[in-house]
Amino acid sequence: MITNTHESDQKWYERIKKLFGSKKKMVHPAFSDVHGTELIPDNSFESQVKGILKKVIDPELEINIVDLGLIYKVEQDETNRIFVEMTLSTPACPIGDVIVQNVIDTLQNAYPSKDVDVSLVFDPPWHPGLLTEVGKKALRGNFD
Amino acid sequence: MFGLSTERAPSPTLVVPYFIFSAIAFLIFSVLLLFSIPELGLHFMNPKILALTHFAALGWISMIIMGAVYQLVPVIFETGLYSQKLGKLNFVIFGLGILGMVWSFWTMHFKNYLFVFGGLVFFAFLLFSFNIFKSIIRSNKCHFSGKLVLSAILWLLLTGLLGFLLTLNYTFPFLKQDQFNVLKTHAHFGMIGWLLFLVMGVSSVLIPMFLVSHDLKDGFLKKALYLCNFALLLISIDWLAFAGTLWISVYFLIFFLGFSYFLKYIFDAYRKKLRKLDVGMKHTMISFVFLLIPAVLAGLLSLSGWLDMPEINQLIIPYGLSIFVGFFSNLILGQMYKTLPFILWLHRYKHLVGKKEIPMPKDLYSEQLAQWQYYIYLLAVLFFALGFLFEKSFLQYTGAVLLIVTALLFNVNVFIIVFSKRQRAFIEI
Repeated sequence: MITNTHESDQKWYERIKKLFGSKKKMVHPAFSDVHGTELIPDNSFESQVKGILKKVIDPELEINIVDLGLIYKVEQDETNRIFVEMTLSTPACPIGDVIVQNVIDTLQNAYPSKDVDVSLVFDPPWHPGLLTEVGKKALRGNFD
Repeated sequence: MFGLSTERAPSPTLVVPYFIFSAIAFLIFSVLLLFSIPELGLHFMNPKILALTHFAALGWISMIIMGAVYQLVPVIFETGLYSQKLGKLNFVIFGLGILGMVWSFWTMHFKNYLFVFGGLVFFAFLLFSFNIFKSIIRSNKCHFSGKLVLSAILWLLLTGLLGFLLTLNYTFPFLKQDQFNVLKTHAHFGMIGWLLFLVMGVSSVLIPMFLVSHDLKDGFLKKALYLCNFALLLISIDWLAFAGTLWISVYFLIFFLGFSYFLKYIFDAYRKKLRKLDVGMKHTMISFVFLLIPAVLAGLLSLSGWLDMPEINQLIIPYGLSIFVGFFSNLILGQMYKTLPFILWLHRYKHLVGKKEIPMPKDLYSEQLAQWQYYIYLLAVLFFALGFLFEKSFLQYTGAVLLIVTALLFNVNVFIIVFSKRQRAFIEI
């Protein structure tokens, strides 16, 4: 059961759920990790950070990096440092550093008292299975 | 930072002049084509056709491709460009060489000036190749796409060398081979070795990236790389050393086999695409479909040794036009929308990303004009094809006028992207 989700996320989740019927197991992509394992979808720190990172848009694809499935891991340690592990849709991405810097700036704006550490990884490499349903629809130019 | 820095991207002051020169050259080429329709029915060695061919191949296509390669070195080889100054010098020398060469052809100054401008163009090729090789040496990434680009640059040097020798031969005759065979070799080094192989290398990186296609088989590219290069080598040896034998059709067959592997790779990228085609990618993908026309014509021409039909040589001009206008122009008309807006977006807005509301690269041009450009271009090709098929010059004139309209729309968008103040207003928000 999903509680306390972002309002817009909840809307499309309900729509998809309705489309496929309640028998099908649906894992909200924002609440599953890179391996598809269901996370506890609550008002966790990871969910908050992912919600904030939806402001970071890939300028070529015009989709936010969360729905693109680029964020692998979000953690916070005891020293209040935010650690983000992320990837790019291709290692040859010509604006990789712009996206990473945007992640840092966006999180530092949201959490001025915390340090932000971003780690860029290509193992496991990004694959289309990491796209959320919203991401898939946006790529196809279908936002309904 | 992160080993993937936009800091490696060259300055727009290096790349943008290549795009502007090329766009204007395309417009001038379209106008010259309109005034050369009567020459399209003549032998391809006539001065106007030579001028037009070189203006299209060098001024329009090679110019924008060189600019794009300078921009794409960091993407393909994951290294920075060796020298931006050399790239700027390359632009000036290449531009002067092209203008002088086209003027020499058009005004039939074959003996006095042509070799000087031919020399300038060859020198520009040397500068370009040196700059790219010096950049690549520093990279440890060279997959099959990179190898295709490298092979294209080697063929560019051979194209330039043969072309320069041909221009020298007008002033100081020394070539013992049949000039027609040398010219054919020069043309195919340029069209296939340089332009086509380069397009293969670059598009095998960019098309999957733009379509968000994954899990493509590199083996197809490997086969395309070796078979196409091997075939072109055999074709050139046959023409230069044996003055053209019946084996030439076999060599073309090997080339087509290699190229079909590349097409399979592109088709796979298309099949696995996650993204809807925008106008730039529509142009790009349809250009590969249009390649069927020159492929059929090349097949027929390569059989000319077997068939005793001298009139088959009348297909040479449609063959050249189908490659330059039907394929390369089509591809570039689309890829400009995927590269130039991005280059300038990066330059203008990179420091504002995440800080202010900024436009996306797609907002830097008129989508509506681009759509019109796409459909009018398709009509232009249709009219040209019908004009050649039914031998009706009014259809070719209509095609040429439509191509001018295409070039005008393309130029308007290029200038909007480069100079529009409207987008810069975003900075003030």
